[in-house]
Amino acid sequence: MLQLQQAHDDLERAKVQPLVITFEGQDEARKYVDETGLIWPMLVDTERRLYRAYGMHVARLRNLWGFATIRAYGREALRGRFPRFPRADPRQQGGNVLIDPDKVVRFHHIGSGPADRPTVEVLLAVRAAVHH
Amino acid sequence: MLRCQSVPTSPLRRQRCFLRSSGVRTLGHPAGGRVRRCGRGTDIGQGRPLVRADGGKASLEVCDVTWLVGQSAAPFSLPDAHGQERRLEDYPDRWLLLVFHRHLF
Repeated sequence: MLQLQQAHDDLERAKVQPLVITFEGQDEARKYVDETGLIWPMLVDTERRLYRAYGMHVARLRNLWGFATIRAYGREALRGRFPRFPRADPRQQGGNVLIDPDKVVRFHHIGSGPADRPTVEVLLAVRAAVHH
Repeated sequence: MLRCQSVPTSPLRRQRCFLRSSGVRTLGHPAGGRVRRCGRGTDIGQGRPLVRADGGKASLEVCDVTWLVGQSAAPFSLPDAHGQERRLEDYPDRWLLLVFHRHLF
């Protein structure tokens, strides 16, 4: 999310509107927005219908706690950001979906673990490949 | 949707049960290699995970739902953190990047 926020100008230039989606409640979402200063709308999908619509279900534990995850958390810790103990379902998968102005899915990625997200460069490359 | 009446004990039987019950299409030859499913076989018709087989080679587990690419986006109407309702059609002429969070804290 930090990487995305840093690319705010690039996304704006490419006319890409990020919408962040959470399965947690509205109070948690508001708290998160207040704490992190999230600049984009955070949508609350407590029933996880949209998650399921894009094939994001429940991950395997070994994916959540593999080497890539430990390395990602370690990298964050070196920057002084320590993960907190999750209060919500830690096995829920996340991911990214890029939708064009005609409302057609152009990119779809399900993270196999906490560290598995496409880079901004990949997202912008997909955006650039489709002319609108 | 059909569901297995009981949970089979062996992984292969569980996999077959999952495939039968959810109508998931497979790539490769499930019988020839290890097949692993991605997520649960729910909501068929909305979000259907595609199961891949590795053909007996290196273990492979891919949440490959590339069949969604080129399809119409799933409509939504969800409240944001401040209670304002947001819908897919609220963003005409814009690309949308849906970022699905895992747990927040």
